[in-house]
Amino acid sequence: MNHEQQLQLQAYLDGELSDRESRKVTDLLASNEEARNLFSELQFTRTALVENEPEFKLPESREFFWSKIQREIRQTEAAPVPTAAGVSVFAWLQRYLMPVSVVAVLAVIGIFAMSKSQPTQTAYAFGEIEALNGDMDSITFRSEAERMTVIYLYDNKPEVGAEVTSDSSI
Amino acid sequence: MNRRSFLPKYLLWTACLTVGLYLAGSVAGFSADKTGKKIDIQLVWGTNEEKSPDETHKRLSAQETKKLRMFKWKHYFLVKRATVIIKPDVPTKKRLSEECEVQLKDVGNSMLEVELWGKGKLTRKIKEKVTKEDSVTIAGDAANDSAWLILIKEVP
Repeated sequence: MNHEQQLQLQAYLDGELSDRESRKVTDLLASNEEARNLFSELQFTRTALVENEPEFKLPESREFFWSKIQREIRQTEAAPVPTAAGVSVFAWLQRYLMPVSVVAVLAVIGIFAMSKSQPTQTAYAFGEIEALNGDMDSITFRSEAERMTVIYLYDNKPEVGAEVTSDSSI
Repeated sequence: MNRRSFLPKYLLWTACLTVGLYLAGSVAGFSADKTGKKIDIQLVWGTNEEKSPDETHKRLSAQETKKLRMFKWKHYFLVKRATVIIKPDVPTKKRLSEECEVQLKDVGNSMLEVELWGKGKLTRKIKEKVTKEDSVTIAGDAANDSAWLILIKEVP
């Protein structure tokens, strides 16, 4: 008995075969003992499955079950929304006013800190130099690496490149 | 403690701590302003000579010399160093050499007014920002292709 014939037996048992195919299977069962044994086994298995399948039953009627669900839905929809009068003043303060005040305080601190640190954020502004000696000029430059402002005084006499005299020393 | 009640308390404590730190910092800064600023002044000679003719001159450290690398000289010698404490709007004068004097005045907003006196005459009046981070250097030509430098900075 081949695999195809086994499948035919299963299909016969399930009533899925045409008349012609059914006749073939009947002939096979009549002539082949192995086929008969397999068919008996399949029949037994089918019967066992059908009879032992657990059946669940609601402890109440179908209408009563659905009416309970409907009642629950209606109750939920009709539940009152908590009003402002139901919330204590302290709870309201804790929930809204405290975070708002904290944010306000932090904002004020931030503004103060920014206003204090503003000079370092902007480009360096040179100070003032008042020349009180007409013989000398000055060059001002800034080394950002060293954070140092340098004011270099030099003799403004026309002899550029001439040796510096002792008058320029202080 | 559930999260809902913990969060506002946590924020409140954070805010209080921040305010406290800010106030403490402000008080500290205010008291520092009242007691005065400590200003370090150095008169330095810049030269290409290996040695200073004056044995009392001390060579500047490598770190200090590095800060002066924008100048052309190779060697720097400390001629005189002084520390003065200046109070707001009170001028303080300091003699650095026989011919050179500086007068410092804290004019507020981290600005320092420096008056440079040479041979008893006021030659320059400079107003610059001087803090613990920002310094000012006033320099000029000296004999034999050397230079004098006055380094001014605030010290803690």
